[in-house]
Amino acid sequence: MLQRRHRRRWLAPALLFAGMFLLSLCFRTAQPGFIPAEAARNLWTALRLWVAQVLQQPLYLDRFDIIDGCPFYYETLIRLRNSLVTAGAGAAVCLGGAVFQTMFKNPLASPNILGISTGVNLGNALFIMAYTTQSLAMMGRRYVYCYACAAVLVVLAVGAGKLAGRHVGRFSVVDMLIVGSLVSQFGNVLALYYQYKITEIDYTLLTVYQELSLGIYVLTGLQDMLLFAGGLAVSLTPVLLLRFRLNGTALDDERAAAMGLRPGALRAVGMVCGSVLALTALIHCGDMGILSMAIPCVCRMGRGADFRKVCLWSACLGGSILLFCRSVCSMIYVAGMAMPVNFAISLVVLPAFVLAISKQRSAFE
Amino acid sequence: MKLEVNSVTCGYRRDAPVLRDVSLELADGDICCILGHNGVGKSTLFKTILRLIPPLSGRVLIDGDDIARWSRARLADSVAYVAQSSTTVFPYLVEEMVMLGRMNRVGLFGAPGKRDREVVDGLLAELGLDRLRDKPCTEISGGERQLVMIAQALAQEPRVLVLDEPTANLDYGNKIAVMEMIQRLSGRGLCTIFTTHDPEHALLLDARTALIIPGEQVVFGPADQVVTERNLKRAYHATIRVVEILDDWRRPVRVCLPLLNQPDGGTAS
Repeated sequence: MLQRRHRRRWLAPALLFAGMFLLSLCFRTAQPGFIPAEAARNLWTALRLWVAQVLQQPLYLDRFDIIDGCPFYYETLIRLRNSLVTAGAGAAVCLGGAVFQTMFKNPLASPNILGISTGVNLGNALFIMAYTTQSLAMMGRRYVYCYACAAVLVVLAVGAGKLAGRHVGRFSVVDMLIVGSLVSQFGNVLALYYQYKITEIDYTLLTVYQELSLGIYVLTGLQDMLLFAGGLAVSLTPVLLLRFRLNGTALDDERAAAMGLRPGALRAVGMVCGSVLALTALIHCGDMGILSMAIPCVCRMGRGADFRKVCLWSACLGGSILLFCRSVCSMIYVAGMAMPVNFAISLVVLPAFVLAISKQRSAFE
Repeated sequence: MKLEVNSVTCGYRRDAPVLRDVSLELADGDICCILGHNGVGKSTLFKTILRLIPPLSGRVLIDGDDIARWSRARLADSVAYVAQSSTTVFPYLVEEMVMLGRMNRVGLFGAPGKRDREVVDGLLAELGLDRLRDKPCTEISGGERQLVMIAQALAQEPRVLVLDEPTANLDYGNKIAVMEMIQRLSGRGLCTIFTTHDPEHALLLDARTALIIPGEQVVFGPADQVVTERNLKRAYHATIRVVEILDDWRRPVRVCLPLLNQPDGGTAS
């Protein structure tokens, strides 16, 4: 009975996630339209052709005729890859947020406090500065810039935070938050400076920068998707394996140590994995606004604070909301560009976030 | 099980020890009450017993084995701790909070299984927390939260339970509930060590009592020999009478009665 009840907990978020994923495939890109029948037929055709190719069946020879008879075929396939990256990014960034909030014992913490999104923005700006008009043809290099900049800012924030907390002789959440914010602001100033320099080189490059940092342009090439999957696998595996133990970081360090844990080591693992999760998501999907902060908070309000539940619900709900927002935004064009996804995220998430914060107010006070 | 604190000097700096040369010896089912005024070093002694800070000298032994050589996980199997103010900002449900106490029993990458759920269910029923099972810890009273933290510590299935001021900030009824629970746990063979600012608790539980008096050797012995008017005066610099009354079964019970504004500092009696 208990086992069954425990197993059922997985079902609701998994169904929500799968449902939203399928739904997102039915939206058309660049103009309003909802095409579930075409999407289903196109996916079925793609599957049949893939099997035919692998098994070397004669059907594969007729592929061009078959594809010609399927309207929106290529659009559906692009949408499929887009949805895969989007769902993964939404799940990863919210999971990163859940890890950070648990570790910092603060429901308002997010990976951005260590300057991760600032690092990505700075990396994008430096990349465009370095490669100017060639930057669109050399997207592979972008990852190096973004990962390097984010890593430098995180190391700076953590190092300075530890140094600032030396007077109390142990890790100090408050010091880390203050120093992290300062480092983040410093990175922001640099990113803004380079944005300005980009416009001096070529004004159109600013559009490229905005498309990358606001997540309008999602890279879905094979190399991009492999990098994305690799980043997720490396960071997700320890978090999932330690999902029960990570609860210990939400307790007092002394209590956690008396329970046989090593809170410092757990926090270090959490910080690295949470940072990589958020970083991977932000590099591939751009800025996602308050998603990483709000979703774990909302999940905690609805499902309790056990990290096992929070991580499952945050991943599924975050992925679903990002899929929904991106689908809607891809149909709305503002000033010749698809609407930045964080506009929609703020509209969808903010009311629930405010409610969650006000319900947990006693905890803050 | 035998817990020995052998000539332990504890503190945070070698040049400024908080307590010197403390020796205690406790066995299964013993209740030990540690008394002393604020800042005298009660929590420091606890941290040393829990190996959260190393002793400056001396040894803490369990069944003759020095715990300095034990891993943290092994120590958690034997000794559990309820801190003075164990709160979390997150709304953990009562059941989840107690389940966290099983952390030492599940593997590094493990999650609670059937046996862990049975232990937690049993503790919730035993401590009368069943009705609060699905309530967030942030929405229950202070007394209930204290019981939840005790349940969490008991979920470790320890042989020694260390409670740092378990009755602090509790109303009278909840204080009595916690005292009764300590007595029940002792009856089950659990060795319990707790600190309190209420010397009466030592007398009520007939505990082995360690009275910490600054600058003097720790006075350790049965409650009725340690909690005396003279010792209390030395420890708290206040006039406290220890009087005997009869309970409903006409059994003698000793209680402490503080006296205010004594003209001679309470030395006349």
